[in-house]
Amino acid sequence: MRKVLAVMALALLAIGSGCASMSTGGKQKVVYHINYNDEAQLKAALGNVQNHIAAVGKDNVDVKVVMHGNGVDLLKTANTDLDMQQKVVNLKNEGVDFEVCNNTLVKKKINYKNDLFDVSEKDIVPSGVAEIARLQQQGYVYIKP
Amino acid sequence: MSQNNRFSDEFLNAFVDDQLDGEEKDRAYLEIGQDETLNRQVCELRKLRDLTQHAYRDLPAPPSATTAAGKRRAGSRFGIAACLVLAFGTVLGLQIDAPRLTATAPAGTTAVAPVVAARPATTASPTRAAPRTVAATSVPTVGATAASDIRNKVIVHIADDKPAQLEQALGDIESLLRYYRDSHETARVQVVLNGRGIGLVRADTSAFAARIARLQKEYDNLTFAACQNTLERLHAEQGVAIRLLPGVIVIDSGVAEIMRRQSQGWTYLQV
Amino acid sequence: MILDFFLKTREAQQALEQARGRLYRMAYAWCHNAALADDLVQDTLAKALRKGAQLRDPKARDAWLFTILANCFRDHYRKQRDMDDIEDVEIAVEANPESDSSSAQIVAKVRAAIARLPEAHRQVVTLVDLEGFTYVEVAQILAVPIGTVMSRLCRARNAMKTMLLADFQRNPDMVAQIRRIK
Repeated sequence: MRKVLAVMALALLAIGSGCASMSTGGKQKVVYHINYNDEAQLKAALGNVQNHIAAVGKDNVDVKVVMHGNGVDLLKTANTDLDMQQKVVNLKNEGVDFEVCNNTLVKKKINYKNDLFDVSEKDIVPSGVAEIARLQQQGYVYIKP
Repeated sequence: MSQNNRFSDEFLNAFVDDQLDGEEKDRAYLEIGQDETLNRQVCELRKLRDLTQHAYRDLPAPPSATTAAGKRRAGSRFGIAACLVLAFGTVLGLQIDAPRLTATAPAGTTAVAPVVAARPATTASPTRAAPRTVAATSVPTVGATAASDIRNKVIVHIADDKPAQLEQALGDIESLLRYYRDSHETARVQVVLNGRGIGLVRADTSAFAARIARLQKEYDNLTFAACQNTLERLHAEQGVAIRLLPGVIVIDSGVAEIMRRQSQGWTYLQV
Repeated sequence: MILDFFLKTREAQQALEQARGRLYRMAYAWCHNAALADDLVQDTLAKALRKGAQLRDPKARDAWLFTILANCFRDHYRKQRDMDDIEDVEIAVEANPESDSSSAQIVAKVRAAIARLPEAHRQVVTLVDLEGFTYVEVAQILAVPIGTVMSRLCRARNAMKTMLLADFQRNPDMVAQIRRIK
């Protein structure tokens, strides 16, 4: 019950701000901020995103997931953990963008081609936090799941 | 009115307005840094200056205002405005509560003068900060700031104090500031600390004092703001007044500040 | 060479337009009257163009512009004085529509304090605080010796400090209000 309420709250939040940005074609825009690597928390977060999309319809929402710091481990885990991988694949099929912070890649010496699941060059942003700020400036609502 | 006859009023004013030449300035820094009375006088002079600037930031539109130039809304409200209002409250608080307060220097306002940073606000009867105005006027105002609007305004919210998390948070903050500096974009970053996040800026327990000092010195567009409500709660629980690191300002409520900023178009990050 | 002159003129005009906002702010701080401030600024810019703004070294231009503003201001009140026989001009504190917010009240208090300063003191403190002019530049702008600038500045700031504190001591409610606001 709590989970349903949480999802509805999220959806309402997104709708509320979506109405404000109706002029941009009616799509709600949301950025999810991931900077932790506790596996249970990550899976729950992806579940939230999934529920959100289900609640409003994938054609009505533009979702970006930005990972930096420890959050990059989400895609690292997805390489070996099939459950995590499936969640990511499902979301990507519904149009969700997964963006990765380059500063983090450099700092942690991560090779995105080998170490991370399904990341191409277009998914990489110079600074994860700056990207989140930029998206908000463009009308994306910020959620930290 | 000067209590110290080594330094006249005029000398102190000249110091505050940066009108002293190199040698005099060095001497002044040294002496003022070590003398609490002088320190406080300098601080008060700075506050008056800040208040004056604040009082004329938003002006009524001139009758000749055209759509393009004239009706531009008040230029970006900087975090400094919040701490100016606090500064004003501090000046009052000092005077009105004089019998009860110990002789502590008022809170440093911005991080711009690290050498003469006053000791942080520690009062048992904390100074109050009036909340900033949410800008909603029916009269169009003209921002008279010469500088163009700040493009990137970010509130960073820290509510926890796990060491690894704080380490990452500071890394993110620095990363953000460096990114804007490297791309030559104007930016302001205000870090709001409430709940357990206060630990980051507690003078007695913070493991990051040196790093914070370095960041404050390197970036003059960075502000650390501690939540008054949290400080009061901690004081009630632990019975001791919390001392903050130099340059950390105090705002009335972390949550209220975040909401105010967002309504002003600041972006939000929780780290 | 003519092209140079035109380019300089256009550049000068742009620079003047950019300075308009700051001139307005100063003029407003001196008289707290939007219409009058606007007039003074228009006057100033017109004079500046006529006097050859394009020939000015950009660094010196600011002080020069504000000198013209100060002169316009003085001329305006000289005319007023001739008409009204006023010793020193008292300027009004405009009512603030947002006066239910504490921040706006503080703005009003500070402006009131500045309004109560003698005109010469008001000019010095605003030139230094709002535009960051050096004492030498302020001396030039107001055509007074630098020692006068420094003593006026001191007296102005001392007076403001006293006034602002007195204001709040008279109105303890104000303080209570600030305290209650969370």
